[in-house]
Parts: sequence; structure tokens; C-alpha cells
Amino acid sequence: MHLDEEQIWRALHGELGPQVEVSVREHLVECAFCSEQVAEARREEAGVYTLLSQVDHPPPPVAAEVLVARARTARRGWQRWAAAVLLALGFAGAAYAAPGSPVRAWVNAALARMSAAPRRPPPSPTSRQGPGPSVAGIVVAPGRALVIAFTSRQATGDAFVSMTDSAEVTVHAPIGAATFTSEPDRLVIHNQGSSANFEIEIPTGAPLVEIRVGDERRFLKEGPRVTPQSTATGRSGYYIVPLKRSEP
Amino acid sequence: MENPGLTQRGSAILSFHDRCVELFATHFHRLYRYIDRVSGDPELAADLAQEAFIKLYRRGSLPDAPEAWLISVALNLFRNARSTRSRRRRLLTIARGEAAHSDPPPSPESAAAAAETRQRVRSTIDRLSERERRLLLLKAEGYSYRDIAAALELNEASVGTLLARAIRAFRLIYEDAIDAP
Repeated sequence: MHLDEEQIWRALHGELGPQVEVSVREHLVECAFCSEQVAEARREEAGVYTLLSQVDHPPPPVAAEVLVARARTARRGWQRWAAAVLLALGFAGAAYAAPGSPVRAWVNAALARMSAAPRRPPPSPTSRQGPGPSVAGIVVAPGRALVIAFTSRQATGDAFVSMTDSAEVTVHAPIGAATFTSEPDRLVIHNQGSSANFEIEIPTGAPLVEIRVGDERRFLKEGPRVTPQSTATGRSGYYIVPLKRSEP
Repeated sequence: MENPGLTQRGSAILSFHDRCVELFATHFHRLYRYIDRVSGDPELAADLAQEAFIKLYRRGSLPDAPEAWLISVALNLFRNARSTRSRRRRLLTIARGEAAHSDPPPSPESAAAAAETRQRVRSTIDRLSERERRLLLLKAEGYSYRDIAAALELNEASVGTLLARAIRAFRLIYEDAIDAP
């Protein structure tokens, strides 16, 4: 009685259970036919694996520490914004509805001021606003290399760059501040005449992302390394890239 | 009380963090290579292999079969990502193809033969049934029958037979491609 196909392949891969291990090994010593079947399976498998290796690419240089750091980043940016907005709305609603609450008066006064107030200044890095209904944006895959090109230097304004565990690059801007053109390996932001702030999220795993303003490189992420480091704020993985003209 | 974040392993007690780092060291490259071979897209494979490990770490505790869990998660991510990445991949392929025309090939005959073999292997992988492809490529990365059965929801008792069929199918398709004009 010869071994069946399952036993032949299990013998080859060392996957025989403890109950049959000894008996199958003893059989293979005595039976030239089955022994040849195992040898043939080994040759067949090795030939296929050699062919498979032809389509391989080198693995990415990723360190465990980088992934752990990304995993510890609590949630994606938009989730944090959404949670913060919901929380704020919840508190505001409760305060507004509470009997005798001064919040009603504050809200009414604020609404009266807003109708005459000039446009709100752009958010500072310490008081970032989430993307609301007045914010537009674009999402692109970073690929092996991506250039984010602002076509013009601005009179004022910055790009706030943060690292995210998302797989995509996201750019947020106030509506009307810019138009976008996406090309392979290049995202062009047409920002002539704009003085807006932009928010850019870059995947931590993106191999190479460059931000150019006019003809000048102002930010480069190569693997885990980001330059220039001096633009980083106190917050981890958060950078300010000036969009205005360089000082003479 | 036993700390669920600690795992007894031999005489050493490893924390969840240490176990994750150890799993990364032993499994990241083969998970990457597996997804790379399944998808034919190294950038996507790099993203998904990392994403799977991030999800494992965020889980906060190890599943019963971490290797099989990582494969299942990576395959689910692949299923979701395939459609959204396809357009970008086409664009990049076109761009690279155009660039390649302007570079003089280092050795025309050997480069052409290697490219032809790669294309034939790629096409053979793609023409296998989904189950054969995943089974064969997981075994090629050295995963155990138990992990393969768990990840692909197969009966562990028949993994050897299914693997034999997958290898045979690969050979037949590949040899057909050589014989084809």
C-alpha cells in the first residue's frame, strides 16, 4: 500500500501528524516508489518557486519602530476632527439648551458681530480648524515619488504638513483659494493671488514627497527623514512650510 | 492575576510590544513578498503589509494565530484597495513605459529574455484560480498548513492535496505559455 498524495506532500513539508510520522517515515525508507514520489514533488515545487522569484521586488526599508509609532497615533486626522466637532457640538447644544444659560446671549452676540466682521484670519498652527463646509481638497496616492507643486509664492500663508497613517496624500484649502491638477507623480496647486493657508497630510509610509513653491523646494520627505527639520513645531510629525516669498 | 499583555514563551516573558516586534522581524518581508506576488504591485504590497502590522499593534492583544490573522487582514485590505489603486497604477505604468524607451538597455538579449520570463510568470500567477494562487504563494513563503488553512478558510487535512494541484496547475499554464506562439 502506497502513500496517498496528501501524505506525500505532508512528508515533503514536515507536516505529518505525530500519529503517522513514524509509520510514514518507515514506509519511505522501504518503498522506492513513494520515496521517488516525494523527490519528484520536491523538484516540481522547487522549479515553481524559482519561477515565482522572477517577479519579486526588493522589500521596502521599514523599521518596526516606525510602524509602532504610526500605530500609536491615536486615530486618523479626519476622525479626530470629526470627534472634536461632535464633542464641541454636543457641549454647545447642551449649554445652549440649559435653562438660564448665558450661552444663548453669547451666541446671539457672536452672530450679530459676524454679520459685520471682516473675514476671519487664517488659522494659526496652534488653533487648527477642521475641514468644514468652506474647505475644499484633493486626495492622491503618493506612489514611489510625489511632487506637490504650488505654482506661485504668496504674499502670506503657510502649508501645515502632518504625517498620517492614511495611504493617501490629502490637501485641504479654503474654497476658492486654489485649483488642483493631478498628474502621475505630480500634484499641482494653482494658487496665484491666494493668501490662504493649506493643510497637507502625508502618509508616514510614503517613500518620497516633495513640496515646491514656485521653482523652490521647501519640504522633502525621504523615507522616515524630513527636511528641513527646522520647520517642525513642538508637535510630533507636524511642519510649517511657508508659502510666501523668501526674505531678500 | 495574569497580565493579558504578557506572553509566556520558553523561559522568557515577552510583552505584547516585544511579540509584535518579533513578529515583524520574522514575518514582515514574507507578508510583503506574498502580497507583491499576489498583486504584482510592490508599492501596494508595501502599504498593505505595513497596514496589517499597524492593525495588529492597535488591536492591543495577539490573536490565536497571529500569522494567519496578518494574512487575512492583508488580503482584506488588498480587496478594498485594488479598485481605488487601479487607475493610478495604469498611469504610472504608462509613464514608466515611456521612460524606458529613452534608456538604452544594458544587454538586449538577456534583458528581453528576463522580461519575457517575468511576464509569463506574472500571467501564470494571474491565470490560476484565486484559491490556487493564494495557497501556492503562501506555501512559497513557508507558511504552515495550519496558518494557510486558517487564513484561507480551508480544511487543514486537505492542504497538501490542494497544494499539489496548485503546483501542477501552475506548471501546466506556464508550459502552455511557452508552447504558445
